[in-house]
Amino acid sequence: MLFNSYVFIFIFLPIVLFGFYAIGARSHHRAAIAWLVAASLFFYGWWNPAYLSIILISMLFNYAVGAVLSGRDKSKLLLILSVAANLGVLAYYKYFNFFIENINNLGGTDFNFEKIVLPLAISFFTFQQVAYLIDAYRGETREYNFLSYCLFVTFFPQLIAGPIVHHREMLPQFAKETLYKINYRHLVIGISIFTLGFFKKSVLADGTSEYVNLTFSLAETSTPITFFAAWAGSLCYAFQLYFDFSGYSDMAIGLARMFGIVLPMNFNSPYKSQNITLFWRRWHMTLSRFLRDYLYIPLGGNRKGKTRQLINLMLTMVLGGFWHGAGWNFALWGFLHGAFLIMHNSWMKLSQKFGVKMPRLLAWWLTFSAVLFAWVPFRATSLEGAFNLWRGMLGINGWFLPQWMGNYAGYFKQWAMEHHIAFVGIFHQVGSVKLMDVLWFVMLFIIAFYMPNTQQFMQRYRPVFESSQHYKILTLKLCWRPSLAWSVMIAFLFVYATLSLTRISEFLYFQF
Amino acid sequence: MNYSFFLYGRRFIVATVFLLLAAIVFCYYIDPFSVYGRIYIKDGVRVNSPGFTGQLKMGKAIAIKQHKPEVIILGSSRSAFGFSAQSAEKYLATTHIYNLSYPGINIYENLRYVQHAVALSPIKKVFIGLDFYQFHGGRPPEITFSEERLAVDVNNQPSGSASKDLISTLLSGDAVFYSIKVATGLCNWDDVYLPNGFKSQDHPGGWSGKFSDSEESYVDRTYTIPTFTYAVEGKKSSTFDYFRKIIQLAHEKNIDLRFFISPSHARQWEVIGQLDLWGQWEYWKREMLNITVQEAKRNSQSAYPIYDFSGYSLYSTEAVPRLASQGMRWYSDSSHYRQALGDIVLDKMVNHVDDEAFGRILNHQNIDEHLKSLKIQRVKYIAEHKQDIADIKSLIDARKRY
Repeated sequence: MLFNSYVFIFIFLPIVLFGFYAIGARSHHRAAIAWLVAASLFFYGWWNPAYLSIILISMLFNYAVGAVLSGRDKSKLLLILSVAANLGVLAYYKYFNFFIENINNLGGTDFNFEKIVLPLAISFFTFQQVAYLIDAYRGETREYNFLSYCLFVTFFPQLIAGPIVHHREMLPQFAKETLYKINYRHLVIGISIFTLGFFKKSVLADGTSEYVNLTFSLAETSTPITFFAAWAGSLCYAFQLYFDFSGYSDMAIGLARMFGIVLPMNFNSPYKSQNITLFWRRWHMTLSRFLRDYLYIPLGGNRKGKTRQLINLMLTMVLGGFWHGAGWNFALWGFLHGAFLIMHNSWMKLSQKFGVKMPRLLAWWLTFSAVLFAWVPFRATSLEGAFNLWRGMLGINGWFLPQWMGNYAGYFKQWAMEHHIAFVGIFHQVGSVKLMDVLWFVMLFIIAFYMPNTQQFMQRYRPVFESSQHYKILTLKLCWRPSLAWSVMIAFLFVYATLSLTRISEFLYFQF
Repeated sequence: MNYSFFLYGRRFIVATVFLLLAAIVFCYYIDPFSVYGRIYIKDGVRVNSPGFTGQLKMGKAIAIKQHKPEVIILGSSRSAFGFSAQSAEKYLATTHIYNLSYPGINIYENLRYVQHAVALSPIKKVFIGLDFYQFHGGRPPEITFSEERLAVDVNNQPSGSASKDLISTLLSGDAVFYSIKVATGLCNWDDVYLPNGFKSQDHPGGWSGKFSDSEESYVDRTYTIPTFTYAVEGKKSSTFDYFRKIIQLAHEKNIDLRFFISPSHARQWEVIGQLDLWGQWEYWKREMLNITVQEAKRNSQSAYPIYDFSGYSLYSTEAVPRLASQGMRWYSDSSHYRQALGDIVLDKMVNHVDDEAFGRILNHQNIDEHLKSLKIQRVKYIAEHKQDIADIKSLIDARKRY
């Protein structure tokens, strides 16, 4: 079931909300939690009921191991074995096909296994539970009951694509007595956050997908993508991915809030970042936090010397790349970000030593360009496709210029032809681009770079778990409040997004 | 404080319900895709709404349910534009006829629409316009084609649901947008369809500029991207399997099925030739013939005819003027024939005329000689139409460069 579907918005969600508060109002708190777990499992099983067993076994196993680890007998071996078991299951479902494919390519063998279909959300619920096991071993978990633990893993707003939640954030919230009584404050704040995310996903991201699909699928054929088409394609993808994923996160945060649960922040206007380290503190923040706490720091972080720190950074990013998908293109994406982080780290040392500071605009431009360049292998389905687009962005694949320029080219026309410059219209390869398309692009640009984000609009009402200080920029006058104007505007955005639902759309993060 | 949240929630719900209902009522009243029976009058003629033109796959699939025709015409834009409703009704002597063709159709979609029509209507006669590119298995699937809206699945089992179309025609941004365009008159009323699926008017005569535009799209996007193949992308089947299924269904239901290879202009065949696809093009014809014969034998019936209108006739070699003002009689561009030529095609098929010059009915006795003759005529055409050949060569050379 997709968040952006009629069946979810108009049937599933109202029934689950009604059921939860109806049961909760009669003080059957455990039953209310059980209702939410059942609804979440139904939500998960909607795609493929067969995979329900995986998540159920995974929860039973990890809860039992967690109980042992948090007791008196803390066995490091048990921790290692249980984490290995979790990662083993993930590796089997996510990386086995990839592994066999590479063995066949390298050794010229022809091992042929039936293709394993990736169970939905396995990367997310594995990570959440691995963190739980490690914290249980460290003695940082409390005694949680099994039902609450199940809800922590399966809670449908964050189950499929995050935010990746931490037991410390979630489980104490389930224990609150006030949670089970209908609270209009939570409900309308949740609806408003959900609607802002719904609009971002359904209108802004999906409205941009057509051009992106066109460019990237053309890049997979052997057609060389020319300069402007390549830049436009990768820029549009950068916007599409941001609005898609941050929209999805907003929807998740809003949905949880309807049940009185506050989720952690996942995006904080990442494209406004002026360096790559900052970018990673603002993009998919809960994943960055997980990788930092459970991979980078255990690897030694910055405690074992400069060289080791840089190696740890690179390792974390490449593994983070692989987490997104089993493919060399994801590893390349992770490697590039590792390299960018190392460069930034080195630059910081140099700039401190020589007292040099980069102008803010240049710093932003460099950061965004690096991110943009790295998105290409992230989206391309093969390395060849990614290289094709990169060549295009660097001008190696030739240039298409507007037809009218050809009239003034005169003597240079022949020279231009010899140097792969043609006057056939800049987007000749992907069809005509109309004024509306340009205006649409400008609008995305303004929203991503100049507009406040959802959390800033909602800052008066604690939209996310974190302390809100670092995202307070707006004057309070512009912020959301339960006023007539905001209710009509949110209704308008909701209807607009609903009307946009019939387009073909799919969450980009579903396979990660 | 809590009351203000309660009030906000109430206002949100009222505003949302009001806006959604307003959108539904507006779209139903305007019916921008003519799926709820609304017919408009243009110059005294009953026509579908202009929005129907942009949603032919949906509009025509729904219309079949309402019209219940006995005769259908299928095929690509060539069949959609090239026949007039009046002539079709005259030649076929029935008004129970529907033109199900739509631009860009492939052979799989032809099969699916035949299955859909047969499931919903007492079909007796089917004419299918065949085009070489329809059998290119590597062409990416068209995202606007929907299995869901068709009455049966590919194995002819009842399936499908109209719910998605219901929502998209009443409660979608596209529906609201088209409704506003139709209501304000901001749409193109020159490009509309009649209630029986035929184009309301003939396309104007072509000239070299239109020919080049059309050929460019075939060079850039249709024949060779990716490399031409009969194998279906991602499946073990070939596009000929779909062609065979159409024939099997027709035999099973005792339908009078007639295929015809569209009579495009000679320059279209030159595009195929210059893209080094001539051999594939010949194989395509041979293989289709083989399949019709095999299936006929299997069912102990006579083979369904394939009329080959491609090649070098008096019509297809019509001179292509350099100026738009000079307009052509038989063609609107390299791919599309005009309705005057469509009349001749219908005449030959209805009267079962085997014409060596235009409309040869293929069989195992004449196929070799027929294909050889086309090759010879091509050489002659190239020699006599240097400018046309140069136009096509420059298009293909430009593509090779990038």
